[in-house]
Amino acid sequence: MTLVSLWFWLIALTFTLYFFLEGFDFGVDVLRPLLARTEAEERALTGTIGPFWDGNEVWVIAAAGVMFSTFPVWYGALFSGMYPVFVIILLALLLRGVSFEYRNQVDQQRWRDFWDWMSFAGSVVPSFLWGVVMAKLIEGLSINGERRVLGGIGELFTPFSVLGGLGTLLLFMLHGANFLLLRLHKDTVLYTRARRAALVWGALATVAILAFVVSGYVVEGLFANFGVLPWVFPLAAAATLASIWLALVRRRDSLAFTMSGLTIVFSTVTIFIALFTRSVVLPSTLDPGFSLTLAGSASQHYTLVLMTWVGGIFLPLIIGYQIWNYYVFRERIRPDEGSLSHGY
Amino acid sequence: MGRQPWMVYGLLTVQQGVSANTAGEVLAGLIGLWIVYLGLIGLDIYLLSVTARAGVHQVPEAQIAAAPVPNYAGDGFRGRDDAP
Repeated sequence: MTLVSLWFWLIALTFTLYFFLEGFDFGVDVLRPLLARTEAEERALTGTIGPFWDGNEVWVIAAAGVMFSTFPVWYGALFSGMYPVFVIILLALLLRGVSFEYRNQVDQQRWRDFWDWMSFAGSVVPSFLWGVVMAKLIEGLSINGERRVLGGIGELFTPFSVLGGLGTLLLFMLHGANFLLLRLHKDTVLYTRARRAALVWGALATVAILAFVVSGYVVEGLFANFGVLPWVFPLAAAATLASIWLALVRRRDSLAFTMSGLTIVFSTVTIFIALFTRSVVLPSTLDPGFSLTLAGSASQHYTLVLMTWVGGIFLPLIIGYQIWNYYVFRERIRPDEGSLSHGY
Repeated sequence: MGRQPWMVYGLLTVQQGVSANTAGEVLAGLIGLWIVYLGLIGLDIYLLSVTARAGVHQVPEAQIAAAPVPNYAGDGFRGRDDAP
């Protein structure tokens, strides 16, 4: 495997980890207004993701940083081509991050409501828009001969990319509900509500993902170049998604969470395989000849060697401390007096 | 150094390095960031002054409830019998 391919797949890895991890904390924040009825319950739900959400967010920074250093042309075309979307994602993540810190600083219901709203909107919006970004990644942008992206915000929302957005939003809600089943005490009413939410939103997620794949296959012909092996991944995603329902009905919570996680992993890998099999990182909608190729948008060899050293040291380090963090905060949570007097 | 038309002196001109984003897009993004950051600066100053006015020995009620101290008295933590 060449360094170019290696770094392409490391970028795929960072995005996959990001969607797997931040997927459930987005999901919990989106579900919170639907599940919590009291202040103690609200705090318990926030407490399930309290120690993890910002660690999860590290992966999107890693993804963008790695993309910038190893595939600057790809990075430039994607981030300036989808500039309005990325600004909105950035603002949403900003307000959501602050909501964790500021929500309980002033003892007023209006203040708390405002930050709850920011937390909700700051999770719904990126959950949707990341699906749009991933869909546009395989659908392509209007890249001209000078490798600049023309066309404004209107071009970014096609039926295919909107379906992709709905797909990620609903999948993250399902993933979040499954995560809650692992983090809440089983005797709480919140646990029961989370279980019901997983069944309802899981069904909707299945419909949206199915519609996305069918539209990608039939309408856009995106998987035309797939050989036999790449088909394993979309089929595996479909199988894991279907098995979640079975796991939920049989009350196998860890299995349900693993399967929703694997659905996210296989779906993300499918998108990157759709790019890799064509050796194109970002197709041009104007002329296939203008598409950004794998080799043509990578950094110089020396930069890739340097990045391999940096990545080889820091990626295992980050993965290591995150595993440790999840181990430390492994206890289940219940809404009680303690959560009110102790914050999280 | 750094004179026009160079972005990276002798290697890349500004013309080659600039994206095709419209001025309107960039301005809208800039205004959005300004509004959010100014709002957050205002809130930060407000919260700092509330804390400062309360004095060293007095922590405002809402912040006691907000202090992110997890309840370690849960099932999995041993040796903390005195915990609330």
